[in-house]
Amino acid sequence: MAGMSPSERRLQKELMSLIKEPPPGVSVDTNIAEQNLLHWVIHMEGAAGTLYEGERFQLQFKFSNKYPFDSPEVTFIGNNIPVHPHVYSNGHICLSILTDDWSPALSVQSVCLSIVSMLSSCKEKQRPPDNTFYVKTCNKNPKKTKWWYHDDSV
Amino acid sequence: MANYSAGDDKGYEEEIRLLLGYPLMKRCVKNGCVFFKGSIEIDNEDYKVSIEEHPEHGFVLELSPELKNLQQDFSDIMQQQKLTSVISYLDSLRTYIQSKIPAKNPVNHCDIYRQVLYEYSEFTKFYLNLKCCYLAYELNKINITTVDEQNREHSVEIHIDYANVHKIFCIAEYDLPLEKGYFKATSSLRETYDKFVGLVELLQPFFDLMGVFDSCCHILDPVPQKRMYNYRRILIGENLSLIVTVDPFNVTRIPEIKFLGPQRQVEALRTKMNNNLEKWDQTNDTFTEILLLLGMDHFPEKIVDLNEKEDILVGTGDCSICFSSRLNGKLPEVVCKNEFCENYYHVDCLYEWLMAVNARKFFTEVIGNCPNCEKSISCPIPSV
Repeated sequence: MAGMSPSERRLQKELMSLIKEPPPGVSVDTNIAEQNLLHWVIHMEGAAGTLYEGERFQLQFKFSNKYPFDSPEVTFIGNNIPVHPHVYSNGHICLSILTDDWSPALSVQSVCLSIVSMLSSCKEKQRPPDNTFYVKTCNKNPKKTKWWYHDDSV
Repeated sequence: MANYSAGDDKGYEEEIRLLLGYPLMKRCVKNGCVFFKGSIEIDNEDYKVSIEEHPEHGFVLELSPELKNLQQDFSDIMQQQKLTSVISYLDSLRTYIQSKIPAKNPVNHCDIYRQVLYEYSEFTKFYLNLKCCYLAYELNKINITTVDEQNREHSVEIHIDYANVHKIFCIAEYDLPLEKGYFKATSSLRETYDKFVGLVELLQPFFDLMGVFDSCCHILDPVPQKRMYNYRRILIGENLSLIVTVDPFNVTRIPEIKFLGPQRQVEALRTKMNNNLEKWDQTNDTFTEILLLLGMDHFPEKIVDLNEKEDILVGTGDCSICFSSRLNGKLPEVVCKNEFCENYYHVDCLYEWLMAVNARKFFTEVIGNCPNCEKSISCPIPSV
């Protein structure tokens, strides 16, 4: 790992750890990540016994070269965007650790686990109430959105 | 005006005289004008010269840029003399430049080289315990390896500085716990080397003590353990280490000991050490005394778990921000005081984060929240 910046070194370490010991239901697309260490795609399965059991989702992580001081940009991509009160139909996720509550002690793995648990605790599949308006007006980058974290229970 | 043509006796004669007197000057004809171009040598230096043989103005001189200031003056003098031969013109020019530019006193390196070679051969004959000794082909440095009484090897590189003729030998590279520029240049190779060997001898107790640390303890830092480092960071518990800093010239003095780890464990150790401070015995073996000071029988042995460590994302004692242990040669030094957290951080990593979230500066510290547990954490402001 000589010649890498601390940021690249950490991403490389996270990638290796995610490949070797992924959390249940999570797997990283190694081809994409190995091409560009700053762009990852992660496959995620809905946990058994939840509303999303049997569903498969894709999460996109984009890192800046200031990572981990700067939070990653995380969105759902692909055909299946989970129907969830905190997930907009364009894939944007309203989750405080992705913006205001980000900490450099968090990792890709801990973000994935947070998202899995966010999905798992859902009681009713529905889009956020302001979905139509938000999707029309929002910036492409969810980090540019000023989020109101209204509900901690889901 | 010598307007000769080939075949003219006088022309031939002048051409031969030019060749003999000024072999680097060449006569040439361009657009019907006669030029003499090339350079003349004065006191081992070449000066570029171009002279046009002008039908009306006589010889018109052009000198290289560094002599431009002489060009006008010389041309003025020559105007009055009205020379017809280019040889006489060049003779005058040479005398003129010689009078204006003081001759440089060339340094005779031969003598110095001879002196260096002599000193070196005497040196190799004089010292018998040299493990290896070698003079660079360019005669600019000497590498010597010697062996001390404990069979430890010490290497030194002595530079030969030809610009400093009176103090030509200087110890440049060495692995000793001394600040840069400790050694002064001298005129004698033996004197220079003696200083080095004298220090190696003086530092024997220091090397002995560090050697005991390196063989008996799990050293986290420095890696590798070079002799220039007078400190060791020693692992004493799963999440606990200490840095012992020794005075190389006075190893029997109580060394500086700093604990790194969870606060409650660090405080317990510090209290124990403070109670034992009085019992320090300078006459006893320093390593044993350090163990007594810490109230320990021995330090934990070396742990070899490198293969295991690869798989863990953040290992014990790794920085929780950059997820690595060594960053720019430094190990994580800040530990969260919250006993349920006790995460490690590099000073540089934690400082960068705390400054990014506008933590407040307080004298020499920054106080903010631990990135892991969000409890208060303080971080020293890194020295630049």
